[in-house]
Amino acid sequence: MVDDQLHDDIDELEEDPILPRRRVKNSADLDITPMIDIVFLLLIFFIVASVPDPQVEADLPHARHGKGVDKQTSVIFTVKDLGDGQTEVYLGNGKRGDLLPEAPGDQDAIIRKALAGHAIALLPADPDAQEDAIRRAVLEGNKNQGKTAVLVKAEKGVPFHVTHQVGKAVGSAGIEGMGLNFAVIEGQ
Amino acid sequence: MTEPPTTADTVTGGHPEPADVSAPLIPPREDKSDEDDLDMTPMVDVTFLLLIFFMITAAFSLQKSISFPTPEQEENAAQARTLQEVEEDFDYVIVEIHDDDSVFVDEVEASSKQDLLEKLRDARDTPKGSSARGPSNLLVMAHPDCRHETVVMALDAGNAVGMEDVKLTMAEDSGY
Repeated sequence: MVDDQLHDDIDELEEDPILPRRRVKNSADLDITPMIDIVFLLLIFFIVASVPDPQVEADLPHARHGKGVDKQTSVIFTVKDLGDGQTEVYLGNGKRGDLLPEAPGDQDAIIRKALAGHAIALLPADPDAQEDAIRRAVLEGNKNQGKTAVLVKAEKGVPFHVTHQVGKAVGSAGIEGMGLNFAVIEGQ
Repeated sequence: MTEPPTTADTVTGGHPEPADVSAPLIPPREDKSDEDDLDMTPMVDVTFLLLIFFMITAAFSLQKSISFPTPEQEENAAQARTLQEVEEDFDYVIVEIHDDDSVFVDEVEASSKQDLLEKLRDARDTPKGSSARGPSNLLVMAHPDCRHETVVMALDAGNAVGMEDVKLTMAEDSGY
C-alpha cells in the first residue's frame, strides 16, 4: 500500500512538467490575505483620521508650546462660545448636554457620570450656582475618581472673564496641586 | 529539496533505486510544511493591529494644553500686592491685553504674535533698572472682555521665551 503510493508519486514525478505545474497551481489560488490586511489597516486609519463632528469638537485656540495632559485623569470643562460674549459651560468633553438639575442629590449622580465620561452636563449660567457646581465636580473628581488636573477646553472667542470665573471656582475647591490647563491645538 | 533525486532519476533512466524509495521522498516534506513551518503571518498581523490600536488610543487620550495658575491663589498673594508694586518689580514683564484684543508689552503695543515674541525676548534679555539680568517672570493682565485666544497667545509667547513664572490676572474694569 505504502509502496504503491510511493510508486505512484514517483511516476507522477517522472512525468515531465513538475515545476511548471506547481507554478500554475500557485498562481491559480492567489493569496489575498495581505491585501485584506492592508485594506483593513487603511479602513481603520481613515475612520480614526476622519473629520470630527464640528458640533461636538470645540474650536480651540492654537499654541506652539502645549504639553500633553491625560484626559483620563483630568476633570474636563468645555466652554462653548455662542457669539456676542455669550457662553455656556459644560462639565465633560463636549458642547451638547442637558442642564444640571437643581436638586443636589440628582446633581451628584450626573456629576459622577460626567466625570466618568458617560455624560455631558450643562452647568447653570448663574455665577454662584456655576461656581458651586464646578467646585463639587472638582472635589468629587479628585476624591473619588483619581483626577489630578483640570482641563478647560475654552473656544477661541470666549471672553476672558468666563475662563477666569471657571479657574476661580476650581481654585475655591482648595485642592493643592490640582493643575489648571487650557486646552490648545498644537501649531501656529 | 526533492529536486536532486528527481533530476538524478531522469538522468539514470527513470527507475529509482529501492534504497532511494525506502528513504521516503515525499513524507518529510509534508511533515516540514505542517509542523516546522508554522505560519506566523496571521499572528503578526493581529499583533500589528493591536499595536496600532493601542498607539492611537494612547495618542488620542492626551490633550495639548497650556497650564495657568489658579486665580484664587493669585488673589490672595499676588493681588494683595498692589499693581504698582509689581510694575516696579524689575523681575516682571507685564503684558496687558485690552478689550479690543490689542496687546501691550510694558506699555508698548505689539501688533502681531511675531512682534509680541520679539518684544518679550527683548524685554527678557535687556536688564531693567538695576538688576543684572533681564526679568524672568511674566504677568499677563487681561481685560475681562478680551478673547480667550489672545490670552492663550500671550501665555504661549511667555512659554516660548522661557519665562520661569507666568501669572495671569484679570484687569479691573476701571483700569481702562
